[in-house]
Amino acid sequence: MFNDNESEASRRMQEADDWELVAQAQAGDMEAFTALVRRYQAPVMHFCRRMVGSPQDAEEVAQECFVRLHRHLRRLQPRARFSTMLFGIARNLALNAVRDAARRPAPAPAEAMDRPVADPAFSPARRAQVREIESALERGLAMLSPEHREVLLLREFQGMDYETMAKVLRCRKGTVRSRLARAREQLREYLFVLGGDLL
Amino acid sequence: MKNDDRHVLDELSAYIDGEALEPARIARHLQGCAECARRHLQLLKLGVHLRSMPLPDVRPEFATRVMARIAEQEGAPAPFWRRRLVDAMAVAALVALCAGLFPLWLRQNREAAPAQLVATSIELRDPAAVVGAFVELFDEGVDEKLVEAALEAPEWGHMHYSSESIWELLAEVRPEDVSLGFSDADNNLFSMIDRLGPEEHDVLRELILQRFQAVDQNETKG
Ligand SMILES: [Zn+2]
Repeated sequence: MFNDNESEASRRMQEADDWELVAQAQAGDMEAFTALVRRYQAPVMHFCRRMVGSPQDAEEVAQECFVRLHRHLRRLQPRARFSTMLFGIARNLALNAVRDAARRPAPAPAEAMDRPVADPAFSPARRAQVREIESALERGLAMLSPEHREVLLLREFQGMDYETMAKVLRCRKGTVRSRLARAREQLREYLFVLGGDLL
Repeated sequence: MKNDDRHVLDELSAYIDGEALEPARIARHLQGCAECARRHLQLLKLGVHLRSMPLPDVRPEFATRVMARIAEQEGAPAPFWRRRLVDAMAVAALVALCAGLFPLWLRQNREAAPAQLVATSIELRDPAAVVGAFVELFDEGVDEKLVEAALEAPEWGHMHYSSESIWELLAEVRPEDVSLGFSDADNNLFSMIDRLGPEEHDVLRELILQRFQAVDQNETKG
């Protein structure tokens, strides 16, 4: 989303557009706020789902994220990137949900995603392999600490650069760099233990 | 060239993100080192696999549900930390006026001035409220210099405490208590505290401590 020079122009346009919707929502236009929710519900939901594990908890967190956003609507100013701010909220809520889940007696095991994914154009053997890797990755991600998982999710799925992630996570760029390296290394080792040919 | 012989395993993660500190050296090393080149390829593949993982379904009624929750909460009371502050607000206002602490108080509007919220939340010994108030302060676009000036009460300058207290205070905060999602706002808070000189740190610590003692005495009386 943010790391590609070619998409920089379109990102800027979308950013201006986001804040325009915020301004309209601040003026009382609920349709504008709904449009913001629709624009960001998929990435936020995706992030929450992989952070939190349980689909129910993830949806709860994702919804609460937008509710919080609305609660602070009056005070929002286009000083930060809109998505940076939004993921900052999502991240705080997700971490709390992870902590709460850990306190519950029986933590919900990571569940596989609901939708089959392997490209139908692949051969059956290739599809099976892709599915094997995906399920291994799913378990591998769940095994990472929340701090390592979030940085990997923001990088790989939201395409954020290190500067943006540092803002979202409220840490230094060097911390982003080292956490990301550690997260990838743990995941790589995990896949290697499962079977050297997965990567 | 000697330098290029150093393995780059730890730097490959940043390298594939285009965020390596020495990309040219890493690129040169990869050409001559099978071990690092193999790892590089594995990490690239890992990224490809991760990015092709399935996306979770978003239920069609997601946005409608969000809007319903918002409508539900429209009439709900203010955030808890602001509610907690209301009772002590009058006292704090008086203290602030008497001590001449907060120039902001003088240009107050209908709502309590954010700087005053900070002072009051410190008085309430409520870390979540302290940070919440700070966040609000910056959300409102208040000049940081005014805050620093407000904390420069000369009568507190002679006491010395360690800077740990502020961080201990902040460490107790649960993010969801104060909706700390506004990265810019709280980055400003941390950088502001970073930028305060030793004397200003002392003043802030003293402010917090005096307020705590005042609260303690009140609690003992009560
Ligand atoms: Zn090497």
